[in-house]
Amino acid sequence: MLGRDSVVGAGAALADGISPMDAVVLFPGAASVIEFGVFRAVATASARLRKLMVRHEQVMLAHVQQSLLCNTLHPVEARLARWLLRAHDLSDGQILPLTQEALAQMIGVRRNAISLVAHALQRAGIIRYSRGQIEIIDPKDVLRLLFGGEGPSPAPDGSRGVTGARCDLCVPTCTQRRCIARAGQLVSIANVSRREDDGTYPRTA
Amino acid sequence: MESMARPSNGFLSALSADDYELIRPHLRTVDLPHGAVLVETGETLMRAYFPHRGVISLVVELAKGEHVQVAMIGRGSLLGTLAIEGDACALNTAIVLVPGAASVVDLDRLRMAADQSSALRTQLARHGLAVYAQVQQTAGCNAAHPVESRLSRCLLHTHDMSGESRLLLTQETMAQMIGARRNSVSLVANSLQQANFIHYSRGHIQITNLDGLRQTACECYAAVKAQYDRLLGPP
Repeated sequence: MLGRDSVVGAGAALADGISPMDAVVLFPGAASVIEFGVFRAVATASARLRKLMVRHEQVMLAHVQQSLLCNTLHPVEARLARWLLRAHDLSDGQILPLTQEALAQMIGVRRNAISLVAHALQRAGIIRYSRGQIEIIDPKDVLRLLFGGEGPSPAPDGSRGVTGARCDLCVPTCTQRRCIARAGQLVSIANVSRREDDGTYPRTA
Repeated sequence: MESMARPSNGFLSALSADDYELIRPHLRTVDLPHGAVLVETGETLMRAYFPHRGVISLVVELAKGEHVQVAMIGRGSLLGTLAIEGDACALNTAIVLVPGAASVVDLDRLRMAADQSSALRTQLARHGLAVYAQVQQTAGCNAAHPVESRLSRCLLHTHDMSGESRLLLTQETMAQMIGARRNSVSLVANSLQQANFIHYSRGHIQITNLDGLRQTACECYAAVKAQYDRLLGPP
């Protein structure tokens, strides 16, 4: 799942137009688009752009492999909570238009498993759920659900930001994010990391 | 001009003569001993590995120490694709699953070569996507498919990538490969053995019926194979 922090199809453009995945619009919105040919020409001319694109690929890979780990090892509740947090981040906390069917597909479980968990989360006052819409009432509650007690333990760098915490669980680890973001001159990636470190989404033009 | 035959690695043998010549002077051959850790998550990857024989397993871990394999790299591809143009900080740990040998080249050298050739960069991007395809298929597979199909899929991939039908795999390793508990792997390995698809003893697996395994494996085996063929061309 990606949103305004990244790009769809850059990897395919660099690989001459072949893509190994389907991309489906999950939440409606708007995007900038560029023709493959033009993008490839620009990428051929700019090593800097290429490096940035490959870094985005790496972030995607980090997300996918962490989902893999999470899908494999963690209970449905934790998977759902993680997924909702990411969706919440990418959509500015708006109400998410999601059927239980779609949600089950997102985290790879049966629809009735989702039903049970969604019902429990609703009863606990963590989400509000009705007719294909999910609202996260307070993301901190979701985090508490994930970590128990007072919520997350501090990240190795001492931060207790919303996502700094999640590196204990199933977002790419701090080290991975920091490594990817290290060369701070690459603006978008640095922004991703800043958002993840202090929980604010950068309002860049 | 090429003075010697190319190493038997799919990536290297698919390169044009010019592209290969950019890399050739810097290639060295190393052993891939069983269980060797080539890079750990968070470390800087210094070299790209092009296996001639053997299989490299990419695993991710949780702080608690749980490991799951996310992809495998064999003689058809290379370790280090995304690190060449992207960041060299390893996103996962690379461990030798099936021993063998590989050509290696310093990432800096490969980076310089990639700067000079857009065809080489396209090839690298394709191999990067192939790994990505494998990871995403495994993510779906581990979430949705039973242990028996996952184990079959994994054994088939390991067989394809290594070209060997006798594999040195403990139940512990297999459990990690498919992200299941050791005792469920034990049960499933038993039932595959009873069906005469594999013969298992003391950490050695002999695949005795590939078709049987193919029928037991989930759609993910064929899906990854199709992606590889599409992205990297016929082997």
